[in-house]
Parts: sequence; structure tokens; C-alpha cells
Amino acid sequence: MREGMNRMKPRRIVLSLAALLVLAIGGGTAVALNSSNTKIATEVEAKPPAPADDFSTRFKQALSATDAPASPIKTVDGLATIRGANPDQARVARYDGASAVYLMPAADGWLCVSSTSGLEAGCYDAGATVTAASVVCAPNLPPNTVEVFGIAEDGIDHVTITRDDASTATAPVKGNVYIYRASHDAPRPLTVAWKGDSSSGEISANVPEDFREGTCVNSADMSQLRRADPDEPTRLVGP
Amino acid sequence: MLRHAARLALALLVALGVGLAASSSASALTQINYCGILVNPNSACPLYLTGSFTTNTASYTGSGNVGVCERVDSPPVNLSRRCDNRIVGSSTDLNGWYGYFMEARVGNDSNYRHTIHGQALRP
Repeated sequence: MREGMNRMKPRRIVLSLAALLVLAIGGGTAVALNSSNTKIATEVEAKPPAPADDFSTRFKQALSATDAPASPIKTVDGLATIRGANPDQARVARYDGASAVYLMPAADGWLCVSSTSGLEAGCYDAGATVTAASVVCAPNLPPNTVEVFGIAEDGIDHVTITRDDASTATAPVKGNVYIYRASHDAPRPLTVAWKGDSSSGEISANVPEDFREGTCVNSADMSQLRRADPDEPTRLVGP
Repeated sequence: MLRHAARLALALLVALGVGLAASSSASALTQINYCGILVNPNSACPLYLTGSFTTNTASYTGSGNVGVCERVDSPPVNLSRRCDNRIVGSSTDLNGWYGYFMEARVGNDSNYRHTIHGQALRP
């Protein structure tokens, strides 16, 4: 009996160590903790690319774009990748001769926007009728400019932007996409309203109150920037 | 017998360890989650990241419409700042800037306190 137990011991050690390691790997892959208790996942949990037939049937205007560039979009940004956007199914929504805006089906019925300029980008769930996003600062955004853009379903030919001085501006919807740009000298865009064939409504323009603050990279002296120390780990900073 | 078991265990550990390293190196991007706490109305999350990143995203996973913002600075300059409803990413704003020191932040652009999640990606 004792001999049998002695024989079992090494196996138990091996199995225990293996079990511990498997547990450690499993936990480490999903969530690991660093010294600052920042959750760090070792891999991006990207959704699988959406199939072709997932593309929303409410955004068909994008199909009618005839002045599109020949070359399709090849890569998508980090958010679109995480949401499972499928660049193979991208449709050119609008093209101004210099840059193109694309709509792409994404996982779970989501729709992602991407553009060759990098300015218009975002992902929206299947319930979106009209969306509004702001670009306050980006390398490709003209200096001292704020952009509000979004998608609008079929039947909506323009949106109305109401600003903080109660004035309004109109932005046409082309290929299910509208783009509104204003100088920092102009009043802050507050809301985006629409009236379509089957719906009407008003949403926030999502422009933060302090959008004029800070120095954007597009008008900055780049020599001021410092290189990151390759040996310095990512750190969580806070109170 | 015990020595043999120990050798076997060590071999197993090494084999599994190599497997883990391989799977990590195979992944294209590393995702760093931060914030994930209640953030005051129209405010930035007090927790932010320093390092260098290729993408920064802010998200709100509850119900309803909540404006969220992401911001990446390379002091004293702002590289990316965007806001959207529920989820927003830095698009390709950080392309070409990876390798520069950055501060990545997320914020709540609504009038109520909400839990806002930040995610930064790096190679």
C-alpha cells in the first residue's frame, strides 16, 4: 500500500504542477494583473469578420455611389478590427476626389465607418438611425477645426446642426454619411437633428465643451515630442 | 523516482512555457484595459496610461446614450481627441507616432456619472 502511495506521489507532483500551470496560463491569457492592478489581456479579443449578408439594409444609399475610387479599402483601424469589421465588404459611401468614406458590416449586426483620410471612423450597433461623432484633434484635421460626422439611414437627405448660440447649419447626407466642419471661432455644435421618411429625432453632437483647448498635433512643433523609452513599461497613472 | 518526476515536471513546465511564449508572440496586438470606474459628468477618468500605443478607445457598456471621449497626448501636444456615443476609437490618428511617449485617456461626455472603459492597443 505504502509502496503504491510512493509510486503515485511523483505523478501527483507532475499533475499538480501541470494543473497549476494550466490555471496560470488560462488566467494570464484572459486577465493578468501588473503591479498597478491594471488588467492586461495578452491578445485582442477581436470579433470574427462579419459575413456579407450582415450589412444593414437600411443604409443602401452607400451602394449608389458611382464616383468611387477604384481601389477598395485594405486595412481598418483598431476599433473596427475589434468589432469585426469586414473590409472585403466595404462600400464607398462618399468620395470627394481626395478621400473616400466607407461603410462596412461588422460582427453582431454592427456597422463601421472608415475613411482614407482617417478622420471619419467609428462603429455603431444595429439600432443606429443617425449617429454623431466629433473629431476634435487628429493629424489630418485642418488646424483650429472641429468635425462632426455620422451615418444616416436611407430617406434622410440632410441633418441640421444646432449650435450653442442657437444658430443652425445644414449638412447634406451623401451615401448615408454627413460631414460638418467648423472653425474654432464658430459656435460649438450641440445637437444633430433629422427628419426622414420613417423617423425624426435629435441627438447630441458629442462635441465636448472644452474642444478649443490644447494644442493639436496638426499645428504643433513636432520637435517638442520625446521618444518613449523602449524599456519603460506601460504604466497606469492615477490617484 | 522522485528525481525522475521532478525532471518530468520541469520538462512539462518548459514545454508549456514555450507554448505560452509562442502564443503571446503570435498575437498581433496587446490590449491594455484601464479606467473601468465611475467617471464624473463631463470629466476625464482619473486613471490614465503612459507608454506608447497604436489605438486608444473609450466605451460605455450600459444601456442608453452616453457620450464618451478618447484622448491621446504626447505632451505638450494632443495627437488624438474624439467623442462619440457609447464607443469611440482613435482611428488611425496614432499611425506613425508609435514609439513616442504618450498619455492615453478616456472620459465621460454626458451629464451623469457613468462607468467608462478604456482600452489601449500596442504591438
